[in-house]
Amino acid sequence: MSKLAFGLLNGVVWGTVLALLSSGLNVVFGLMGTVNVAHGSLYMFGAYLAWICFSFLDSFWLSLIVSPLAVGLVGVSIGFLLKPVRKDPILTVLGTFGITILLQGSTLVLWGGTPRRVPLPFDSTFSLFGTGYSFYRIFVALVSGLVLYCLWFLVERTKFGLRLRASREDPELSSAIGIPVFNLFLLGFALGGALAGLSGALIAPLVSLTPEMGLRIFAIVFLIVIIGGLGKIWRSVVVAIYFAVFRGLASIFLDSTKGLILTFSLALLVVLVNPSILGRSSANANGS
Amino acid sequence: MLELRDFQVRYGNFKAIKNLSFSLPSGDAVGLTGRNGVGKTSTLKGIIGLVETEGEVLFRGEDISDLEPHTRATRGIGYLPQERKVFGQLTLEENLRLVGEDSGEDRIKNEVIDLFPCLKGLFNQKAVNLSGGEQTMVAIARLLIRNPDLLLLDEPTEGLMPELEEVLHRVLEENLRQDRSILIADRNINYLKAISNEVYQLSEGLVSNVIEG
Repeated sequence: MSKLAFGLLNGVVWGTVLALLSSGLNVVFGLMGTVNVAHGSLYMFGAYLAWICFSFLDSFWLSLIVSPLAVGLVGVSIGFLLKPVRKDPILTVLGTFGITILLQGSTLVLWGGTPRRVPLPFDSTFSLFGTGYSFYRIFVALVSGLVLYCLWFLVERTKFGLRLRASREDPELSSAIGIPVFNLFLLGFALGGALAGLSGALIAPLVSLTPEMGLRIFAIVFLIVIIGGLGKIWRSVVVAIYFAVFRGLASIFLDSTKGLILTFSLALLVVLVNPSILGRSSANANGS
Repeated sequence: MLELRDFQVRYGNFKAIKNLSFSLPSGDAVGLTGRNGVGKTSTLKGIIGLVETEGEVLFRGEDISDLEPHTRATRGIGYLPQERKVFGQLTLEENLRLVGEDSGEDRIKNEVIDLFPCLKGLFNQKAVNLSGGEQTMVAIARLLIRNPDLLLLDEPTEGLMPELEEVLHRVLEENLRQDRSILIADRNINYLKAISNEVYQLSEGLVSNVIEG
């Protein structure tokens, strides 16, 4: 019973971080139509910044501000670099894949391949079935939930979000009615990068940091965004939490790799049986 | 207000507009007509900056050829496209909010209802679910909210019922009285003649005939 409760709780916590990371990709991919393969590496970069803040500045908490800001800036730079090719999906994939290699290789050269660890910023626990459960994990879930709510508000309730959705649906018409589409594209990259950076910083005390961690997670996040639906932030949040909870529970009874395979297989089966579950992009669903 | 000098629109090796020069003073309307594919839409798209052009596009005496479309729009050019006039996944209200001031939403709603009473009660509908005529009305309303000095209208009567064509006619005349200029492309030459001072008939990317309005 305690194993099940731990698996469930860990799944929810990991799911909220995954949701945060997926939402960042969904802003760039779903709302702006650009496949940013470097999104996973931005997450890795955010996590390493947390390690740097802890190791050199003796403050993990600082990284919760530094990582989103710095990675957001990297996001804007990627947006600038992609300007000449942003309308060509193949070139954007190739370009961002190149940036992935660059970020991963730079991390390897600068800090080596040895896994790095960031200690938990606070040790307090609460009792769950007689075993201590870290309050930091609850903190991670709460911060992620709060940021996801702010993101939903930004996309669905503000003029910035409205313009972002309009630009996704019809960039030409948006431009013709006075919306600065390229500036929005850059802001979207900044937002996506900031979310990746924050996800990396939040998760840093709970995992080992390696230069490949970003590439590994990108496949999962990409799948979550595709199943959840391009531009559908809340649906990708639900899919992320399903994914993490199911994988967490499966890993109790199977080893981690088999748990991952089972989770992916079930998702694939659901999609094969009911393809309509796949969220369609707003542009495709438009029909106008 | 608007002047085109040796204006050309090219798609690869194909010249959609070969050499167009005319001026449109404040408070005047000019019509563009001709069969499909003669370059009416290309001309309007070229002026707003959605396609690459050669030659000069002067707006209020300033060459705007190198400006981005959104900058041209914010400087006072309003464009109504022939197709995909609205954002289908946004509601009617959101389509209007895209260009309106945040503080004046109620005022804008009332103005739109005054202009097109049949849109009342549809503000929360997704635009994709509106009829073609209703979508055109939303697009025209969205265009007028911004009070542009120059209106570029591509087939504005398409999908409109005759009584709404009349409403549009009145709206355009009111805009002309306010010293705004209108460049309007339509196949309906009689409608153009009723609004415009001159109608340019296009053929193979050139003006083949000028008809007095």
